[in-house]
Amino acid sequence: MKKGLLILVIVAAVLLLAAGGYWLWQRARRPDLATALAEARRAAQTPTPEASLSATPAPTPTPGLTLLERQLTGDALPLQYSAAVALGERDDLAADERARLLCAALQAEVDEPSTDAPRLRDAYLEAHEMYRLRLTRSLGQLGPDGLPAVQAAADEADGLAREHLLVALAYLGQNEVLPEVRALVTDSDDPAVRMDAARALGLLGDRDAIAALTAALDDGHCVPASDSLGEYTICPVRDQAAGALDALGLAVTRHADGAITLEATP
Amino acid sequence: MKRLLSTVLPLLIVLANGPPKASADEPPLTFVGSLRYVESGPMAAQSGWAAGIMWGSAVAPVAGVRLLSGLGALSSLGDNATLARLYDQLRSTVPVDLAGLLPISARYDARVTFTLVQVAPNRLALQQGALRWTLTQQAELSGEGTVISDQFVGQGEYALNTEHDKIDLTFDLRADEPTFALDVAIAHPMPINGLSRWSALAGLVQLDIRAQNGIETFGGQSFGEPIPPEVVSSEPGTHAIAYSRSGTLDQLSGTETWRDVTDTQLLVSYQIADRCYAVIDEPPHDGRLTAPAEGERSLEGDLRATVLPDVHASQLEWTLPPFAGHEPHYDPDDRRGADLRFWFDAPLPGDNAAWGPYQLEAAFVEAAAQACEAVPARQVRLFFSRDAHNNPDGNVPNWFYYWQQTPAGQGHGAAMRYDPAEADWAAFRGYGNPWLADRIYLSNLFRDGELLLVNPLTGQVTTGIDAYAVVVRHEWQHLRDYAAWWGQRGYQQLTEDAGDRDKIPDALEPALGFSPKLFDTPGLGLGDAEYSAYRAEAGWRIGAANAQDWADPGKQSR
Repeated sequence: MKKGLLILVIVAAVLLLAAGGYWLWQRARRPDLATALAEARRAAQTPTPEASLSATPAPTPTPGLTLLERQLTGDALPLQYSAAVALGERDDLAADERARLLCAALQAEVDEPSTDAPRLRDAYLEAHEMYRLRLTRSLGQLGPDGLPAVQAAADEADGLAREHLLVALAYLGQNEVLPEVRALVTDSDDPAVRMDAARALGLLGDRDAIAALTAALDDGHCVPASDSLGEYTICPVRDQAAGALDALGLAVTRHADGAITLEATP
Repeated sequence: MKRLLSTVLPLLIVLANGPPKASADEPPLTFVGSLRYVESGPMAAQSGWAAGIMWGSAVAPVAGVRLLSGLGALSSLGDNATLARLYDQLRSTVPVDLAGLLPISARYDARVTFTLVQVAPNRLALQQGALRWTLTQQAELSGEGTVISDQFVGQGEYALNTEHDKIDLTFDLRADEPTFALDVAIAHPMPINGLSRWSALAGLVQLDIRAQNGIETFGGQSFGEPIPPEVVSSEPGTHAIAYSRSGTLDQLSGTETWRDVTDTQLLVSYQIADRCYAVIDEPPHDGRLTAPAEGERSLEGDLRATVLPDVHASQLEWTLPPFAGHEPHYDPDDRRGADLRFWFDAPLPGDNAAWGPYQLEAAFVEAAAQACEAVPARQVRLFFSRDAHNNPDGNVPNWFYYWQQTPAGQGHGAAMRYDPAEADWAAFRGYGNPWLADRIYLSNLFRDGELLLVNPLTGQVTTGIDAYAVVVRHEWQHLRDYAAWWGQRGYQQLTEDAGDRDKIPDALEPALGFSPKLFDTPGLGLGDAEYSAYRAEAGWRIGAANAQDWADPGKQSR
């Protein structure tokens, strides 16, 4: 009985000690008045986020696919163009993903051309034409890893988007598309497609394209432009066809009136 | 067993006393504060026939009913009800506006400054203080030959009495967010002056109550017989201020306004702090001060500070250093106060380095210099209006004038000309005009608002001063190419560039990677000469001139 009481007292004492310790610990945690006021003052004087921001500007991150996609799908052509350039060059990003974004952007541009965008500095083409050329060239830079996605997009596309995608496939070295690309040099309704198709054929050394390229020397699409020398007219399809023929080893002559002719083969 | 208890119990007793107290040498905390208390309406009325009648006939009955019928609903207000919520609840029971209905206008305005001293770990009490008050009271009732009017005014100062007056500030630090409770109870004598007159029977009977320094005398006349003056009150009346407020520590300054049961509008504004200090509110830290786009002033702005307690505001003196060699002007002239305006009557500086960081100071002077903490200096940033033309040249926009002095100007200075008539953003005109081959022209880069440029070769996007820099770099490359390709002989289109008119000598094109027969060899929509210029743009490091860009809008103005 006596032993039981002793145990009970010991347990009670331990519990009391524990409770007292906890209470003391809680009290110790409470700040004194001066500390509480100092904390309140400190909180009130915390710099505003805006001020903090200006004090330590964050470094500009390298854009990832998400940001590039946002740029591409925005409505500022300079940013769209910039993203198109980046997607052509960013080997650190998956080629199929880049192809997907570029193909989608191309389709979007075809569906809703940026005809209101001002010309880029010193350009003779309209901004929306340059943008489509840029998208095509970037697709052409993707390499073998991007080829399946571009091929799939071309298979599904039609119209102007398909024409650009065929040229992109040509840049990617797909010889199967060359017959269609040859036809584009003269048959496409879009001068940007015709000029780019001509250039691609010359780049690929496609001698079967000589007839189409020669015919393109008479392409009637000419645009007025101006620079510090004044106004001038440029016929970009003819120019690119001449360049391609030149690349194929055929001599072309540019005449004073702007006409370009193929020199007779000896 | 006894030994155990004798060990444990003392320990528990020690624990119950809590942690060791702070050193006895530690001085008690003192707080300073100010409180403004304004009554506007029937409650502020101090004396007079008219006020008494209105109180008896309307104010007191309505207030009584409101109190009786509203008390039952008070339990719904919760623990932290403010006086404003309390009175809103009471007044809602009798929806009339006594202050608007009754022909009485009375206003009592008191400003209290005080010092509190720590009397317990979490409690401070009044140590000393002063109250300044003013009162105006006007009231008039008339009808059927009877006019009853009150006209009283008064003002005075009162030293708070620590025995009778109370300003208690207690803190509860147990919760996660410490709170305070403020209780104010002050009663002070209010000696007023004025006259209350009851004129009946078209003036045949006139009963007056005159107040002179709070001593009220009854007198008048009845049917031509004077009523001998009789002192009815030899002591001035008193006015009481009662206010309580609780809240978190960040609410130690605040303002509250409400209408009481007599529809008197009350306003209480209080500021309490454990020190006297000032915080500069305007201009904000690291804030932007932009020179006006026009006018004679190069800079102007507001200087505002919160001074706690605000009685020291008149002893806060501002100092602004000269700007571009000119001294500032202030309004008011003595450059003291919590709310000033400043300006510089001078043209804009010629040096871009004059813009940017600018440090202004405010300091307490006279008695406040001892009582208050030093005010940290405030750094702001000075900007010019980007598109304005009020630089010393006056004929070019400010961005053109100042940016050419920065790294973005790339040292070309006088070789850059401004021509708003230039159709493109910029131009090198040397090809058609050899005598212009030593300069480049910039048009108004911001004619369409914000400038957003993309380099079609690199995809680099530029805005603001970076766009300016790449345009300069682009055109300067044309200038360099012209010098390298055509030199002294000048551009020879017919003989040496006849192949494609791309401004590159046909003979040089193969070496440069271009075809002499193509205007646009890469086929991207640009003449061949442009590719060289666009490639040169890549030499500009984005952001390299940000630190010198003091345009608004600009890289540092946001």
